[in-house]
Amino acid sequence: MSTSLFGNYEIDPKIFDEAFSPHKKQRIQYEKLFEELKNYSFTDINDLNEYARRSFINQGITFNVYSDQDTGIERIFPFDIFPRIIPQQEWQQIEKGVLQRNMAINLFLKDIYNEKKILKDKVFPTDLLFSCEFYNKHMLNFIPNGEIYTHVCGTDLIKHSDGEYYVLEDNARCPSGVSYVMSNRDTMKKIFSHVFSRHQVQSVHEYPDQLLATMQSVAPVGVDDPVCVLLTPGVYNSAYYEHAFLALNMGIQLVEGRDLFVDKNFVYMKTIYGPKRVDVIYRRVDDDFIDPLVFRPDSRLGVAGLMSAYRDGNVTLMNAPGTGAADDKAVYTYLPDIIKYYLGEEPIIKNVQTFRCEKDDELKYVLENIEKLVIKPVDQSGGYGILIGSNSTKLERENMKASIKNDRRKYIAQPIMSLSVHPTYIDETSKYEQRHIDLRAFTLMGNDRQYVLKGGLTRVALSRGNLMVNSSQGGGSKDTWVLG
Amino acid sequence: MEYKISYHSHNQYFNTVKDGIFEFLVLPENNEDQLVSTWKIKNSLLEEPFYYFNIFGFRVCRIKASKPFSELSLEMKVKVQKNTRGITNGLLWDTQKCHDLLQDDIFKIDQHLFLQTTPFTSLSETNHHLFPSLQADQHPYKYLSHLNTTIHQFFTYTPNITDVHTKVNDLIELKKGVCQDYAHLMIAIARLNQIPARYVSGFLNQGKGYLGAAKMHAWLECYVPGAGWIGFDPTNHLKTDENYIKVAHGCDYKDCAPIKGVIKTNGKQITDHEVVVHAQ
Amino acid sequence: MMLSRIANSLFWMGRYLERIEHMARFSKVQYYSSLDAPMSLNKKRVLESMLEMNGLPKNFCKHTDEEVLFHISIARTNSYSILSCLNAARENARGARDTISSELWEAINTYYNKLNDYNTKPFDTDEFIDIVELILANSAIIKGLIDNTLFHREERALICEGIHIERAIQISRILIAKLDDIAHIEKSNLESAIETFHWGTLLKSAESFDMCHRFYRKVPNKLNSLEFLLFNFEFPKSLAFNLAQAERHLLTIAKTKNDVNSSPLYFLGKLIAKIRYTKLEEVSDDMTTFANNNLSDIYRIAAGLESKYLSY
Repeated sequence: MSTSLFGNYEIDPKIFDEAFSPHKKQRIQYEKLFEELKNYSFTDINDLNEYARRSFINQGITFNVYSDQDTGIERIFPFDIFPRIIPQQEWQQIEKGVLQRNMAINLFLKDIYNEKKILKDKVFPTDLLFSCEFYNKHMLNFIPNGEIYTHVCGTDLIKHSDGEYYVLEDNARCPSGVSYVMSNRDTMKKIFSHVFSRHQVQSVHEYPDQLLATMQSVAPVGVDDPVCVLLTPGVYNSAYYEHAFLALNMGIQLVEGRDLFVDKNFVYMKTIYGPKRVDVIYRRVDDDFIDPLVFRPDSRLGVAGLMSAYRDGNVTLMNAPGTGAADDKAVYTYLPDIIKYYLGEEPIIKNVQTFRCEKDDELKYVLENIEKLVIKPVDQSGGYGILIGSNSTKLERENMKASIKNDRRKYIAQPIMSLSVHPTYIDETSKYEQRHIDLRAFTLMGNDRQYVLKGGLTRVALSRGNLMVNSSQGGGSKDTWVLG
Repeated sequence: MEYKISYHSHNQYFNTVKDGIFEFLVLPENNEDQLVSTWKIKNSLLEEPFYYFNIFGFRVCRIKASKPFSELSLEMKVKVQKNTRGITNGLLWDTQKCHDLLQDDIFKIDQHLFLQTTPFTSLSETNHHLFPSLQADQHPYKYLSHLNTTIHQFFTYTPNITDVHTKVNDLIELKKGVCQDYAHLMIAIARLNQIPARYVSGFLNQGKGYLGAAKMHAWLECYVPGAGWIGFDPTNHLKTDENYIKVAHGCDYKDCAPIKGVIKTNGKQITDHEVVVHAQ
Repeated sequence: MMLSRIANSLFWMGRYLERIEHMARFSKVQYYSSLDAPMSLNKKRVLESMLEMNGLPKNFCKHTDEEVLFHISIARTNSYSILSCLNAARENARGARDTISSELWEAINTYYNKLNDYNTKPFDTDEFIDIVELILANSAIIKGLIDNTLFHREERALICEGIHIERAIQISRILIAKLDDIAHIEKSNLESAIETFHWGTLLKSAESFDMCHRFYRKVPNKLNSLEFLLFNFEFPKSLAFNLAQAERHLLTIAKTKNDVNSSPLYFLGKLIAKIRYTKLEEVSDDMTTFANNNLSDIYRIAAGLESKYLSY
């Protein structure tokens, strides 16, 4: 009986609920699902959740939490079986919007590492660019094969109380999470096979094929049948499951730095029959670690000589090094200008209003209104170093103010966005409650090809009122259904 | 005039090195003042060297060991023709014109690599007042000549106090160091004053009694509007001339390190370099 | 295409999986046979020989049966315990995750999680028999998946190479341990009952009792037990059989028969020829030396194989 599942579901009318209107009317895209759930009791939901949990553990779909120990602790990413449903039209806007951003970001990266027209035309401040931690001089005066920098991009979107989507972050370095999209879907199909047959849900399973096609499209000139590999930092990396999953599903070799070497500016892998040339590397190792001759000399994760082979055009790296200059949170504030400059278009998806502490008047506003704002360091991801004004103590706020004044370039501030909420089953209370969610959309950019995964990763904050959805902050995930 | 230069590097490892890759940035460049007529590089591993040009356009010699070793030596012999036109005239443009160019936005964008501070050349604000700054009515060339003197006098040349990791802020207290430290500090201050400055490595004529001539030397080049890049050697309180044979430039030492290596081994190692520069 | 590092992982995954099975079976057979063994059989001696097979110091048997069995099976602190070996197998499988099938990986992972779950409940000798059953059942499942979900190319050949090399080693070690047990029987007690008991446990430890009985149609004695375990090319637990399998898989890995004289394939061929043309009578007087020589030959072949194909 539906009343037993959602009868006591409490709605906060100030926040946008994805499944219910403020008057607790089911939203149209969820109607069929609610109809189906009438046949379920809380015991059933409990059993299904437990089934899902077991299935993740047995598949080894785990991530490691960094700690003092070498190996880290293995955890599963909590999964909620009630899916998030996005109607077709709503999705089309998202798809257009993230593609637009990614096209602009690629043109921006090509420009700032070569002609620098956007600086010379004074659309983007010179000092801001050159002070980006991830601006990489080893990318200067060089254009990668296919003129693509961010082959894989994860755009984080939220829906505000006005019902509109906003971009929170463009993850242009090595975004992770796409394997959860596919594993979540697999698990859902096992649990709810009959529900799928009543919905037209867009498939997510062509992603590995699309990723491989993207890799092949940016192969070095003259290579017809490129050897593609995925470079992982190793089994103890928090995203190792994903690396192995993608390599397996693309049918390509998963390699570590120690499997590769550079000889005469060509890259080879060590096989039992001797060296084999490698043409395209999807690397999930951070910029700083990919070549100990160029970047951190103590890195054991990279390949000595990789950068010179790359600049010679003999191997393609994806994503390109130095793409972090585009997802610096201070650069983010200029994204609408960047889109207009390169594409002559208005941004399709809005940016969240952002204050740059570097500017005197904006700093003043930030310091005076800190309890109404979220403060973020410009160069970190995963929710680290963030202060949410309304959820902080006076001491934390004062400490943050001091940090900001000490390094103004390092911080930006945004109004506290009210992330939309979604019914989520809560173990402790054994009922459905509202929990905040966001959405990471995955975009692939290749040589003359673009693709947006129809689904994306819905992350959910599991504790009440929490706005942090990152897995490292105790968030979980949901399957995301884009209706066809 | 012609120079015969030999560079010898010797690396000894207490435990066998399983895997090693080395890069040498020691070959003089060709420019309008110097021309390499012959050169030869030999290595004790008898590996075939691989050459490529780094992001600043300088030729790097890479040697990859194909078998385990415990010793690596490299020997370079090179002949360089050097013209003797003397010190560059830095006063071709008037003061105002120089300042206009230095303040020009496009110029700053084009020269950004040599205007940005790096970890080696970042001087904290509290130390800025210790050094003169470029005045509005001062010609940049005159300012740089003065700064060359200031830096020279600031230091007492002292080997083995600093190392290849020393940053400029550490030098303020020490007031001691070698050519690399002199160059980093002067680069830091020139950049603070919006004058593009770059780190240079090379060889010195050994017949002149200059400081730093026994090993590879370091100095800097600053961009003087109208005249172009001019070399300053604060260690010897000189401007560069035919006695300076340039190998490479970059943002700081890290871009110009004569030898870099990534090796798999544990235990101690001893590295030694020998430079002989013969003028004819 | 096979990365040397992955090849290394697959080979060691095979070795650890096989080692676990032998450790479990040997401990079970030894321990439970000792409970109803002829009365003169020394229990301390049984525990000692179990510890020795598992690479532990003999003095550990001052402890209770439970403590010894716990230590051998699921102690996390013992890096030679069955659980630790299984973890090593799992880490190797994880490193080769994109080369093996999802089914195989999930089976190994589930196997590990189940065994590790025993650490959360109280341990007694009944738990131990459960654990051994779990191990033997899961070993069978995993070997089935190796045969039926992988390409029969280098990837499976490497795992099987590890399995057969390890089995040849374990069979040799069990044999050496049993010869030592028999040598320790006091002269006066050297009666047929005890000796028969030992040959029986040897065959049971190698899962060979039934087939040996069937092959010779009489109760196992010294000669037929040894002949069966060493020289029978048709029985999967014998040294001869495993060396022949190791050669077959090594051919798949090496891809050529015309290998140079110093290669592991060459030494393996030489050892097989020795086994094939040795008669039991020639070696039965000093069986221990014969078994030890074979064992060091196998170790040398395994080391040669590692340095030729598996180093990175």
